[in-house]
Amino acid sequence: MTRLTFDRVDYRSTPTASPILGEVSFSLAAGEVAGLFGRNGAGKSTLTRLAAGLVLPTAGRVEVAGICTSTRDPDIQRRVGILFQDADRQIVGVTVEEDLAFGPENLGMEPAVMRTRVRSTAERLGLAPWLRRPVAELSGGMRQKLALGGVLIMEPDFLLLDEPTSQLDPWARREFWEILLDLRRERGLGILVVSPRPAETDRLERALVLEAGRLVFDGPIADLWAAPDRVAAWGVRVPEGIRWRQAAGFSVPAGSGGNGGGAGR
Amino acid sequence: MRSVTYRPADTFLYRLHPVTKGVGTFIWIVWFSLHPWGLAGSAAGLFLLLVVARAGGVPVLDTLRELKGLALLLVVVALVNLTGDGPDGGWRAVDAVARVCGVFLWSAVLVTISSPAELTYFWEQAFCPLGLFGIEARELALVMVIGLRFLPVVLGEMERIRMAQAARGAGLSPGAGPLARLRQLFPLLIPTLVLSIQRAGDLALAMEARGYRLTGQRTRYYEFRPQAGDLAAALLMLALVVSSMWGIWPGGPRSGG
Repeated sequence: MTRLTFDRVDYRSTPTASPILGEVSFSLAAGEVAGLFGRNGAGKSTLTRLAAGLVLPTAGRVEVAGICTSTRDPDIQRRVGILFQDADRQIVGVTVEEDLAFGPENLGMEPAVMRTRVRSTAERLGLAPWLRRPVAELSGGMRQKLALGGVLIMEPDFLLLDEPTSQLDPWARREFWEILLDLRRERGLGILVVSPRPAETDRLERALVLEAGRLVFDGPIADLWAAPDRVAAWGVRVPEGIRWRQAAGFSVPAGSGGNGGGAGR
Repeated sequence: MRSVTYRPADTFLYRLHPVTKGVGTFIWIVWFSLHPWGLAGSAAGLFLLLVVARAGGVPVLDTLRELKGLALLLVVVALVNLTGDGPDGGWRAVDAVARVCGVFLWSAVLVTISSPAELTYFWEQAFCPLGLFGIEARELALVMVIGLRFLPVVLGEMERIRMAQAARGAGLSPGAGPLARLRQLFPLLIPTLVLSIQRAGDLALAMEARGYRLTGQRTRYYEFRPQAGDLAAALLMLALVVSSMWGIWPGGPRSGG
């Protein structure tokens, strides 16, 4: 099974700086849906950039499907897609079609294959009528979908979401997640969500918590909520819905997002 | 210049190859600026331009309305030509104004009939000679496209900062002189510049995440192939060039005054 693996990863911005990440080890399998929690400055964004091969670890290894990111193999960018918070800061093309094609062009894909993928991706995301339209005419939600399309068109094995739904309304957020979970069912897309919103935690199976650059928790999401005091000490708030369920004596679901499987290392 | 923007359609003008459109525009601008037939030539050229544009599906009236934006320039051009030597200053002024309008109108037509991808392709071809100096034409064209894409975004940011500052009492005071207004723009420039730099950094990261490499072998989504219309356009351009040269050439009908 394809995996995204961190093996005792350290990261410092400069050799003399204090570590942003220290001794981080975990492994995410294709098809898993995990959340990455932690305070501001805990190293969450750095971890996603390391996973996407955009920065290289100071020590340790990051591997995607057995390929070490330090090889700078272009296949890493195909296999790991990353979606940032502000869609406007990742859309390159002037038109929808042009932006969707940007990644495949970089991968040297054949034009005929590219056209098929642009069409199918646009149809999946409801962007087909807008293909020839300027990006400037799209709403905020549509732009976020376009940014997602720009990543999904590369057919990645893993998708890293750096607070991508923070600017979406609840309906758009729900639609966004439906698309992702469909992809997960269809072709085993592995998803790592940074700082998921409380309403999104139900979709997670597994949680990772970073505290000052150290991975202090890695396990099923239900286990994370089981110790509210410990969770609060890490700067993570237990969602209201979970608290009510706990108070009422109901069990906490282990993630409704997918195949119900636990998160393995 | 709101109506001067790409408006998708499917006519013979739109179907022209991007290089034909770009080179044609260049030849037209040079020809229209330098042709030796005075006002008669300019009037005929303008008529031809409007007929071709209209037949090619360009909203000519909307484009003509945009000439309002050039009013000041046209007045200056007319005044400069009126004050020249000779008795026919008036006709010369009208001719000069017509030439400026012709150059503007065809440039507007080019923007209306060319998608951003076509413009990028043309720029790439135009920048190809820079490859001799180690400059990658495709990268340069990409920079221009990103500039096109982000210009409205940066202007939007600037407007947001202006409103935020105005909400805290730091807006432009009514009745302020031009110099004061200029000085009051400085507080907008620094935050806009900072935001633009941040945006550029984020975009670079996002581009890299989508597989962009300076050294990578990229393919092209859009494929442009010359068609019969391009041959006809090339012949028309050739006719313009030859006729102009014949008009100016020693021994030609307009040579030697």
